[in-house]
Amino acid sequence: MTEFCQRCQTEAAKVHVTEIDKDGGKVLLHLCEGCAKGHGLPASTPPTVLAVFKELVDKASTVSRTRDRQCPECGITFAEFKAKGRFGCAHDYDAFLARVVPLLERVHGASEHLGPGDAVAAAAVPDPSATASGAAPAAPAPVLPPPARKSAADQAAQELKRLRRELVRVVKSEAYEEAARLRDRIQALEKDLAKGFEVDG
Amino acid sequence: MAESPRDWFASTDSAGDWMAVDGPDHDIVVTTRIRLARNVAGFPFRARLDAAKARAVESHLAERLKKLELAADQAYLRLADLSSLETELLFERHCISKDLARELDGPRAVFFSRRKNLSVMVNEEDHLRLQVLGPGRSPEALLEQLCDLDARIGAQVAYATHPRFGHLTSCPTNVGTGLRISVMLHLPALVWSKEIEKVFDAAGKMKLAVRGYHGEGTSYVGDFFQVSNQVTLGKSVDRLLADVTKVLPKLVDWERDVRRGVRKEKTRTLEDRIWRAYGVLRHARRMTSTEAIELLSSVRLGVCLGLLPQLPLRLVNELLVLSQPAHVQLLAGRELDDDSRDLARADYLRKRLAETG
Repeated sequence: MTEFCQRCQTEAAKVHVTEIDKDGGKVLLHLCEGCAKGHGLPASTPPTVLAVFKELVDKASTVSRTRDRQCPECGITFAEFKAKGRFGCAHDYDAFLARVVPLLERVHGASEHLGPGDAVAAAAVPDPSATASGAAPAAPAPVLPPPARKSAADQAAQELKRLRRELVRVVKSEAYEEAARLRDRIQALEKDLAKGFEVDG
Repeated sequence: MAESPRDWFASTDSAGDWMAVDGPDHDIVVTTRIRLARNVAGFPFRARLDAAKARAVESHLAERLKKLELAADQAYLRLADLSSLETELLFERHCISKDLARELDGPRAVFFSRRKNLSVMVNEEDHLRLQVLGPGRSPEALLEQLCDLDARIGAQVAYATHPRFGHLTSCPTNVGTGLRISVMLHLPALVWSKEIEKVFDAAGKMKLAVRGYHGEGTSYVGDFFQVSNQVTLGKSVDRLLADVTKVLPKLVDWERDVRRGVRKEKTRTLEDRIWRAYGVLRHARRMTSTEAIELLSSVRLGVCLGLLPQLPLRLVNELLVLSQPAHVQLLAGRELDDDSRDLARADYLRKRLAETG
């Protein structure tokens, strides 16, 4: 029952596309993922977060050549984490802190959660009906009011300054591995600033 | 007599309930799913969870979840107590993830209420995955409902959190809020015109992911795409929601513009494609689920453009679910091999479409 790719005739066709040709006629294409890519189509299965993420971990972890330590709690090493993209326990975030922070910065553009961990989801979903006259006072404010924070763009700009200073320092001391790491972070941050924060307004 | 939890997914009437048939933009915005990832403090994450501890997590959560009084129809089901067909039915209705249904092992469970459109997966990639699923563009209400559920579970269960990183998750891509908002869009015109690539690019620049019909790691099929946030850390849940919702009107307008353009400039081609798809669905004798979804996608566009006035959108949505493998077997009342399924699927689609004339 396997349908073969119309291009290479060898792989199973996994991407099915209907195209309109120049004359407005319909062309049905059955391609394998490889040929679909060559055809400028997305592979039938989009890249998973894990795949993208692994790439990021690989970059982030060229950082340290120190011997791979184990989490004292669950015994996982950073190499094991890298291979699977999954931590073994809650303590890993602290056990590998020095590597986790740059990683989170790459993935999320931040390494700090806003507000106290426990109040995350409760953190005030505004109730549009609450503004109506005679509305009952809002339920007790969830835990803490959000701290007055600088905008993400401000924070990033500040971080960028700090990283650039740091880069000058490590280049002077000829710590090139560290310098490469900083350069990558600076580039990523610059990219974010150019794109992401502009969108956020 | 209270209905059995199985009545929902054993019934074919309700198969497409979670998809939108009214409200603004229901022709394009099919459904919204929001989930939170949570872990129980004191237990290793799944990667280091041995069999005994996995059982302990499951029973710890079972005891607490069952105590919640969320809805009259709430149910806690262990996957081990379900047939593989039942598990697949839950998956095809987007009540549980592909991972929970197929990829993961060990003691897994789902706590759900069909009326509230919510489910809590136990021993997924994280110990807990809370999700709400609703038709169309109602993300604010859904998020509120989900946060309420989170608060109620959080009152019973000590979550693994960190003063700096917020909620801790197996994969650091979910850390912080654990929040993922996925909006399923039907974008046939953007696919036909090949502008969908630009959607991917634009989404990527805004740190949004575009995934397939069943979410992460699933295929792009039938012109259905799930747009979701990639970032979970460093922003409030409201902000993350806004990041996703602010692009929706743009995507909707984009798809509409292209639909208008195609309709104006390639009227015959468009009509031909839609009627051809309808014709095949109406008369074919053998059909795979992928072919069914793709043809139904064209028919869905036809319905939204008013070209197939005899067909209600609700029926098309329902058929999208009912033509999937487990539902075809549910309709047949027995397990079927691939080929028999393809025959049964074609039979069923012919019958349903014949009813509408």
